[in-house]
Amino acid sequence: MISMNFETLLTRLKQGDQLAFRELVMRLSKRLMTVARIYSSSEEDAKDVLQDAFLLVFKKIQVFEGSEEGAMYGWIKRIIINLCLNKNQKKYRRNEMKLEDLKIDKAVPEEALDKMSHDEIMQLIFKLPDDYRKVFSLYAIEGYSHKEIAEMLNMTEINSRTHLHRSRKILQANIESAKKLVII
Amino acid sequence: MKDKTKKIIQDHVQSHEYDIDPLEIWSGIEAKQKKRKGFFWITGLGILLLSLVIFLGIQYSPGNDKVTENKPENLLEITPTTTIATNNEPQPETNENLAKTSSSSAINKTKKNSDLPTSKLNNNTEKTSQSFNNIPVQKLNKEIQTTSNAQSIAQTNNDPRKDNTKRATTNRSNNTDVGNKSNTSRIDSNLPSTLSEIKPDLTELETSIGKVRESMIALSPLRQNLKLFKVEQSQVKVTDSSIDSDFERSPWIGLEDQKKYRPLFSISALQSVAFYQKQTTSNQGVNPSYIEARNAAEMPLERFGTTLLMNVELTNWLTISTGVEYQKINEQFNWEGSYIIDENDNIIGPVPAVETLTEGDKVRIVERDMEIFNKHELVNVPIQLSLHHNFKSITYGAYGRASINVWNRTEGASLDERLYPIDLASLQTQFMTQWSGGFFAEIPVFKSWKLQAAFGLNQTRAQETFSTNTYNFKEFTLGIKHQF
Repeated sequence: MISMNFETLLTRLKQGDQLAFRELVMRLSKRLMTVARIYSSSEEDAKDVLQDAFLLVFKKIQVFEGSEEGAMYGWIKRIIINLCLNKNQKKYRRNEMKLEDLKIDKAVPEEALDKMSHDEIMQLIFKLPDDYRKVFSLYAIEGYSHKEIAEMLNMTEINSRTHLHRSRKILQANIESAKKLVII
Repeated sequence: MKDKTKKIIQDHVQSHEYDIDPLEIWSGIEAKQKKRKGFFWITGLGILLLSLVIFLGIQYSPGNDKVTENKPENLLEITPTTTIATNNEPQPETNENLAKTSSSSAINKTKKNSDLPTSKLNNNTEKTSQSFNNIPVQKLNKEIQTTSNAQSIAQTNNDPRKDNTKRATTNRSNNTDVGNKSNTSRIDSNLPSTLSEIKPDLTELETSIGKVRESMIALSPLRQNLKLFKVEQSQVKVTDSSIDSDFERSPWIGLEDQKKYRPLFSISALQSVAFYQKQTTSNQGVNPSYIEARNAAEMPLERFGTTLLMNVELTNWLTISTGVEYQKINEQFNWEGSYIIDENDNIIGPVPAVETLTEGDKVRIVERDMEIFNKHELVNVPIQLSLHHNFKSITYGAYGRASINVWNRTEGASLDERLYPIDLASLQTQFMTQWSGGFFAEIPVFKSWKLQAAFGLNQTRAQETFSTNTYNFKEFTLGIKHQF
């Protein structure tokens, strides 16, 4: 299939062209699947969310006012995150934590991260428990504050901080074990 | 977490491509599209079928309307020498005697009190021998006066209804032997046309359903104008390489804040059933016994309704709705009494009208039991205000509604001021604005679909020629709501 430029693709999408929709899926699926997988508990869930997000995009394409592929990617990414969070919002209420759970933060070793490949880093992130991974991603990747994360996930701010702290500890441990493996 | 670390992770995530076949995603999307289309078709079809089942299912078959007549085959000729006297002794079964026997005791009483006028040939004969149903109401009223002024009637018929009942009973007992030979119970094909055509006309019903459906279809273009999710893309500053932290989180982000500026639209399809009490009050100058007779003859059954509403949620606690509403009010009409009919089976009038008979008239007296299902069909335009609150995923609240009647049709029978059956349509029923109020709840069932249930009270007033009817409904409503 001959790839069309984004402007043409967008025009055809807004006309309801099914082929353009298919082209959009082909272009963005792999990158968006990464996002869906981060915020979902399984690969199957991630696929399901990604498909729902694309369907929503096709339905609401008229309200998209951007003109670049990056804007489209960002828009769909937000839809995916929102779908994932809405799906799991209720369960965070049950996982409230206490203030004393908070411990001193330890930094994730930057040098080690620098030396790791995309896949290795992504695998580290995917290995995090679901709830920790979501908080970690929202904070470290999407740049939300703990207050915002707490609102989005329907949890307390303290809980968000605790999740981040624990996810860092797990990441740190995993990176160090990965380093040892390399040395051995 | 340090910015540098964040940046490293962001870059990795941004450029990472998950190992998945996009075709697999696409095939999943196609399958979901088909499934959704199927769901909408099935839902639409389901609603349509449900509506049809309710509309058609509640139609009372023509067989349910019973108009039974006890009509002697032989004519009674009014002559100067005709004797219509009470005769309880066995009579030879001659034509004349059969007619005499089947004549009611009311006539006999009349005859006893004053002899039948034998030479009075007046114009009333022609007038009264017209089809009963063709007689205008005003004209009937005049006749009532004429009839009630007659000496014979004044003495025997102070309360027409009570008297009729007595007469009917007497007729039945007197006609026992006659009934074996000449009386037949059947639906009279010669009844006034509007009364005999009361049986539900499915063609008309389909036409009316078609009209309601057309109104529903006419509303569908409005859907295109409903844009629930209007994302302020102008605020979005996202590139491939960086993500602005101010970027809106999703199309829904800010929705709560913007609700006051961006109303939420939804559509509801509702089915209702209501049980009611009816109060009939007489218009000025109408005999109070008329109201008594109406109340005795007309029994409330139920009301079915279908409503299609377009809802606009103005704030998170207030919604305004409008649309179209179809209602069918059913009631049962029961009446028992006697008529005098001429040789062509035209109804001359009630038995007391015997003094209008003239020499040479050939008449029969028929006894009639009527059991007819009356129906009022209404199309209204409702305007509804709802106050609501959300508790978890359940929405509950109260509503108030005014429904303006834009069309109505009545079928069935009622009583005129003389307390004799007439076509219900001739009462020219006019429905006033309905007022409703009640409580409702909504439960999400599937994505943007919600199940709605409501209980409310409704008051409807209807003005008729002789009376004003007030219907007090207790209505139960069930339906679905789709939020755009």
